[in-house]
Amino acid sequence: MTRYLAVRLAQALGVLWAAYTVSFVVLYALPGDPVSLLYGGDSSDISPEQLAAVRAEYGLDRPLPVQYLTQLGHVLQGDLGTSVVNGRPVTDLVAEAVPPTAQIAALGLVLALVLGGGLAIVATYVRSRALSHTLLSLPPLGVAIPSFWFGLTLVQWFSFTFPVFPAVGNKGFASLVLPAITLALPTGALVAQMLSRSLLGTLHEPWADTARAKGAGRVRVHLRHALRNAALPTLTVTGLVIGGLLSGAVVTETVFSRAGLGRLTATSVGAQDVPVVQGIVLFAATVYVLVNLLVDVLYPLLDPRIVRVRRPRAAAAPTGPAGEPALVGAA
Amino acid sequence: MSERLLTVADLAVTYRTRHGDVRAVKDVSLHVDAGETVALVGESGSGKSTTAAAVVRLLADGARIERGTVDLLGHDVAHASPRTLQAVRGRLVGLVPQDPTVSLNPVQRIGDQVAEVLRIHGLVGRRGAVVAAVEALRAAGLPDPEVRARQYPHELSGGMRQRVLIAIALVAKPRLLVADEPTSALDVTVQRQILDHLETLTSGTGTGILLITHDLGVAADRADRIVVMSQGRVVEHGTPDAVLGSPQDAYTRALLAAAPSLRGARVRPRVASASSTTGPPTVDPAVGPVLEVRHLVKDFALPRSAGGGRLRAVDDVSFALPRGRTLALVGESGSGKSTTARLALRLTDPTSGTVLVDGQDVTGTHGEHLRALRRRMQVVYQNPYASLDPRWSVERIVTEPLRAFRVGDRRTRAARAAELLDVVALPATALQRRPAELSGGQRQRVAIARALALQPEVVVLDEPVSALDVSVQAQVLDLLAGLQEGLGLSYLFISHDLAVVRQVAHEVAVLQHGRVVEQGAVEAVFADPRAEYTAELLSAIPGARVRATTGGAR
Repeated sequence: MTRYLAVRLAQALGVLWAAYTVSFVVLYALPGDPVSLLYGGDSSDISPEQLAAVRAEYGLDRPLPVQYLTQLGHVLQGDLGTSVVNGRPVTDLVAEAVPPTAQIAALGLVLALVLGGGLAIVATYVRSRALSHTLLSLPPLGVAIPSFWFGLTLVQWFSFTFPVFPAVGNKGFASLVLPAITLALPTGALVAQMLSRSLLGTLHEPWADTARAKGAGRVRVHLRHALRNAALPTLTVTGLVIGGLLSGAVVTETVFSRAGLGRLTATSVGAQDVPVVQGIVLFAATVYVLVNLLVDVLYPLLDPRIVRVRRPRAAAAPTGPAGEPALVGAA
Repeated sequence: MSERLLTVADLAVTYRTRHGDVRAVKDVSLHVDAGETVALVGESGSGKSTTAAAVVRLLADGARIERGTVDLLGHDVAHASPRTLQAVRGRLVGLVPQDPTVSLNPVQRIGDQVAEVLRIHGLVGRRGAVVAAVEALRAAGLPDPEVRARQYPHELSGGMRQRVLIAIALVAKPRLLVADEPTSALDVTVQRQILDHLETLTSGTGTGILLITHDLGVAADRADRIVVMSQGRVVEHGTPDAVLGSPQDAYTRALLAAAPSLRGARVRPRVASASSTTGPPTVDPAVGPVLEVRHLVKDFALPRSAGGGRLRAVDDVSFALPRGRTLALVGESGSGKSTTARLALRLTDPTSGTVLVDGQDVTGTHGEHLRALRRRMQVVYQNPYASLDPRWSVERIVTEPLRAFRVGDRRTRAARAAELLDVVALPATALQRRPAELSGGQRQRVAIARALALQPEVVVLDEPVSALDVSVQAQVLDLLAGLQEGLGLSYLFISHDLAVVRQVAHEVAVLQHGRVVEQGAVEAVFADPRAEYTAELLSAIPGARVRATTGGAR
């Protein structure tokens, strides 16, 4: 287990480094630089000499590889630099933006899992074929609805027509509800889609018939036997959608005028505030890597067949008793 | 007269499919009394499994009981409410399913799965259920039941899993046991142990057994009465002696003639008679074996989780396949027979040892030479449902080897495809069909045609008939024998089924744990096995009772 974790952590660091490097290359390949953008570019009354001085201050005049290595060195020491827009440390900006986003993301994830999972269970449980089909057609619809439109519709209904929740702002739990629902929609739809497909599959497995032959009722077969097996692929997807929650926050926070990581991303990208954007990329990558590490650690707890060994070929092989490999890959 | 447990009367079951209704069971009546074993015998598509599913009302989606009644100790199962069904299943009737490898919940511990039956029916408390589960596992003949109860299904072998399923079926002491091909997925020796065990478990308690099987030999050995089904109807029923000794129905007679476990002993095998006239003399002693392996060893590295180390799958195996003959590699799963074949085909590299083709060492051959070697050795796989690309036409499948080796042009390849289908006795109209439109036997013929496309000298047959019905098995085996005679092919025949081997092979090598325990001419080995393991395998072939009573033994 320790060895496994060590290997996974090393891989995680590799992913973080790659994310940082790719974002560096992409951001610096963009035309213009933050300084000229900041000071109004060509039309401004700042002399080229002054601009050059500012660039030198930020180290932007040095060759790209040197810039990259110096910055990487700083990052390793926990220094993400300062915003070129307002001069505040990037770590502070990100640290301030995380809590409000974490709140709606957490609530959104809970809603997505509960509602999406619930929908999948109900849709595969109901006897009525028509109802089941109707319910199963909801997830694709949920994925297809644009978040900003859905968010605005929620605001229209629940803030203006029936003023239950505030339309904008960061104050109190009530202000979390609508953004969280907006975030939960595509995520929950994905969870519902995945889980219902897996459930339909597992319910037709021969071992489900074994359970029925024991005299197990439908509820028991559904929840005790099918659900746990069906949850495995859904768990993988959940790990992936948590990354999606962060990107969803960009739209959601803009629609609801909430402060948070999404808004910070939007404004920083708009202002080409490269250090801040890189800080956010690094943060998002860290979250992503940690969540997926958590999923991988949880997997063996849910599925006893998974042993934490790197078995590149045996991964997809049926876990029968040690049999001979079949005669595959013919002449 | 003993108590009547189950009465099925005038049963009809229909499957609703995209192509209209399929009447799987048209008219079935049968009964099972206490302490009695009734075998329901038929080929795939005969409706026997559907009948079994109807008895426990576990029919597939889209299946409907059209007509008839299923009376289980006074419960009308065919029309019972879900609540009644739940009370009946597990408690009054236990089910042993077909394939033990997929019939246990993979993420639940063995003990919990057995105890669940008792918990569902509220028979004992939580703690009592755990103890009872261990006892049931012990009774089902599982060694170390306390340890097994804490394990997961994937940690057990197929035979052990079937014992777990038997424990599940019997733990609540049901009056009737429905066993749907309970041993078809298992090795013969395991099959015999399991069936023996079922007999002892139920004989004392008066439990009735409805045994579904495709194997007349198994039915003959185990049943008090046999019910033969064909195309959804009961065509014959009676005691084994009556049904097998003097079958009244034409279908039963055909089934009986085709059953390998009975056939080899009853009728002089056609292949053996063919070889007695054209056999030994055609083998010129001056010509060496077409394929020979010497001291083959293959090790596999075990995963670190299993403690690392190496598994010796093939251990010092040597054999020679004379030109124009059939050498059978026989063994149970895990014996190394398939790995040996892969080594001989040069699909895997041996850890040590040599492979010779026509006396030439090809162990180190690679690249273009290896490709050339592939033309001379072809394979037919076990499962024709999986070995043919479902999206390709038969013509495309059969000519693929020709395209791969750039043999001929489009026109000559098409002509060759038609010729090949003719060789395997398929109509030319099959050329444009897709595998799904063909039966299992027809698909295996297509696979054989594909193997013959490049005119190989050696064909490796990896359990070529194991997935087929007995009557189809017989046809395919006859076809293979004819092809061997006509084309002078040499077969390396891999099988777990000694009854089949007895029919087709000239020589046999018996493998156990990667070693050859016995080798020689088929007649000699079967008549006078020297290795204990061979004797055990031979005695495990079902159908001994019929062979004895009909006096058909050699």
